[in-house]
Amino acid sequence: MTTNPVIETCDLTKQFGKFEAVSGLNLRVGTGRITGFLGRNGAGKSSTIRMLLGITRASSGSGTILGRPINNPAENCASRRHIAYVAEDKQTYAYMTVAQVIAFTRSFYDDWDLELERQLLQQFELPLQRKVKALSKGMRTKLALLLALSRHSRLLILDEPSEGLDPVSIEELLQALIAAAADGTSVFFSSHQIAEVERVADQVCIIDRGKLVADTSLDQIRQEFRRITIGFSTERPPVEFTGDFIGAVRTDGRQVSMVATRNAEAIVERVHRLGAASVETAPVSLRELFLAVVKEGPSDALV
Amino acid sequence: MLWYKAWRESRVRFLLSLTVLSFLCFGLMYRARTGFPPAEQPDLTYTAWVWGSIYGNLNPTVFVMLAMMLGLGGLQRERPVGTAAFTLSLPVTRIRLVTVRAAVGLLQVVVLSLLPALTIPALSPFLAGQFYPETQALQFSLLYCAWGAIAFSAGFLWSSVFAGEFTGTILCVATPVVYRILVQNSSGLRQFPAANYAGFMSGMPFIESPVKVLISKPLPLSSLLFLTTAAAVLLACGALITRRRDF
Amino acid sequence: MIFALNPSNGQPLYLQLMQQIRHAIDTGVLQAGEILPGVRTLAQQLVISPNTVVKAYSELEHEGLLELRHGSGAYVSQRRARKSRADTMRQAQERVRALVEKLQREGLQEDEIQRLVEAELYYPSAANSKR
Repeated sequence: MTTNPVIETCDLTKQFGKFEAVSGLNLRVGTGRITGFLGRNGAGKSSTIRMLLGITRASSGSGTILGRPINNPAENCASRRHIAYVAEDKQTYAYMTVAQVIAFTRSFYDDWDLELERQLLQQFELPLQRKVKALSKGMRTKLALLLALSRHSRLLILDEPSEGLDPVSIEELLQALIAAAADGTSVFFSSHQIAEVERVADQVCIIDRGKLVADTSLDQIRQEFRRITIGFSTERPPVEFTGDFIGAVRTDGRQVSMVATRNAEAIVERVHRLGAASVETAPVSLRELFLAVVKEGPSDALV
Repeated sequence: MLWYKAWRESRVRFLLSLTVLSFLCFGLMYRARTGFPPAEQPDLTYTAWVWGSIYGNLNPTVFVMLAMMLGLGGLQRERPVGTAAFTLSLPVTRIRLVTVRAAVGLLQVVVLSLLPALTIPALSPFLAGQFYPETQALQFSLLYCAWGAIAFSAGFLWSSVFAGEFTGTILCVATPVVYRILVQNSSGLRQFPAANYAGFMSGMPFIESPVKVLISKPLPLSSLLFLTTAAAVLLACGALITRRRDF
Repeated sequence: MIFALNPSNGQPLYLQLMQQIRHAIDTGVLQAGEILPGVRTLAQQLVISPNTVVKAYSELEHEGLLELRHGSGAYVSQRRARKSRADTMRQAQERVRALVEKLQREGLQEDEIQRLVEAELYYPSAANSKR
C-alpha cells in the first residue's frame, strides 16, 4: 500500500479473563476502498471495531485509525470527528424523537450535509416526530444509517449493517455505501452477508478466533484463487502437497482438493507429472473461501 | 447538545423532585392562612413551623435520597439499552460527557436547594400573612446544597460502577440509611457535626432558640468547604472509573 | 447502458466490465463521442465498488478506447484504438483474399484482377478522387 492505511493494527489483543477475543491482530485497511470484514459470530469483529473507536481498551498491542493512535483517548477523539459509525446495536436514545436525534448528532460534526440528510430521510421514509422507542427494528437501523451517511466522513465503519433489513433495504444500504465510497469515504464494514460483500467490496479481511486468516482483494480471488481437485486412479502418491494454499488440503480416498492462491497452472503441471488421473480447476467464490479458512481450523493463514 | 441529553435523561426525576418540594412549600403557606398557629400549639412560631415542615425531621433524608437518584445515569446505564457505543463514538472525550452530566445534575441540586428560599420568604407575607427572613432561608439552602452535592456525587459514583436502574434505586435508599447508622456508631465521625447529614442540613448545630428555630450561629466555612471537596472527590472517582471502563 | 457482471465466474469485475464496454464499442452500441455513465452512477446501478468502475475506465483510457475528460466524464474515443501495424496488415490481407476469391468466382483471371487493382491505386476513379 503506497498511501497511508486508514486503519492499522499491530498485534492488537483483547482478553476477557482467559478468553482472547482478539489475538495479535495485524490489520491494514487501505484508503479509498470498500473493505469487508468477515468472520463467524464471536470471531472478534465487534471487539476489534470497538477497540479502534476507543469504546473498549486493548489488552495489548496498538493501532492507528486515520493516522492517530487508538490507545490515546484525546487522539482517538480527534479522529472520531471524521469517522461515521453504525454500531451493532443500532440503538439511539429512546426518549428522543427522530428529529431530535438527528439534530443531536448533527451538532457534533462539521462534515454534516443537510442535503444528504434530506435525501436519506425521504428515501428511508423515517417519521420525524415519532419517538425512537416507537420505531420498528428496521426503522431504527435506517435511522442509525442515516446518522452515519448524512456526512462526508473520511471513514465509515459499519458493524453488521444489514442485520434485520429486508432485501430491498439491503439494496438501499449498498447503494448508500457505494455513494459514500464514490465520494471518497473509505468504507470498512463487517458482515455475514457474503453475497453482498462479494459484490461491493474491493478488499476482504477474514478474522477467525481473533486472528486474521485472510486479507486479499476480490480481484485477486477472482483472478488467481482456484480450487484444484485432483483424482488418482491408483493409490494417492505419498507426497505432501505444498504451495500457496489457503485453508487445509482436503483428502478423501483417492481425491485431493485444495485452494491455491496463485500459480494454479504450475500446481496443475506438477500434479500431472505425478500421474493424476484427473485435475480440475474452478474459480473460488467468497463463500467457499470463507468456509475454507474458517471451518478447517487454524492452518495456513494468508495475509 | 450534550447538555440537552443530560437534561432529558434527568428531567423526570428533577421535575418530580421539584413538584414535590413545590407542593411542600406552597402547601405550607396556604395552610398557614387558615390554620396557623394550630390550636394544639398556640405558641408555635412561623419560623419553627417552616422548619418542621421544610428543613427538619425527615426532609434531609428524603432530600439526600432524591439528590442521590439525580446522580444516577450515565454510560453504565446506557449499556443495557444499547446506546453506549453510539454515545462513545461521538467525537467527545469521556471526561467531557461525565463533566456535562455532573454539571447539569449539580445545577439541579442547587435549584432544588434554593426553591424554599425563593418561595417562602417572598410569598409568605401574601399567601400566609406571615414573615420569614430571607437570610435564614438562604442559609438553609446552603446547608442543603452542600450535602445535596455529596449525595448527588455518591449517586453519580454508584452509577459508574453498577449498571442496572433497579440496583441504583435500591442503593439510593439504602446508602443514606447505612451511612447514618455508621456515623452514629462511630465515635470518630460523631464528633464532626458535618458528618451527620440530617442534623447538619436541618441546622441543628447552629440553632440556639427552640422557640424560633433560627440559625443564629455563623455557618462553618471550613465544614462547607470540606463537604464540597468530598463531593468533588466522589465525582472525580466516578469520572475516572468511567474513563477506564470497557464498553 | 446495460451491463451484466458475474461476481463468481473467476474473472475480476473490472475486466468483465472492460470487456463489455469494448464489445459495446466494437458493435457500435456505444458510438464514438458518446459519454459513458458516471463512476458513481454506474457503480450504484451495478451495485459494485466505484473503484471497479474507475479501474475499468482508466484501463480503457490506456488502451485508447476511452477519453476521460476532467470534470466531464468518460467519452468513447473519436479515434479508435491504434491497432498494431501487424493487426492492420493481417486484417487487410484477409480482406484482400476475400475480394480476390470473390472476383475469381465471378470469372476474372489473375492478370485482369491485378490490372484492376493497379488502376485503382495509381489512377483513382473520378468518384473517389476527392478522398
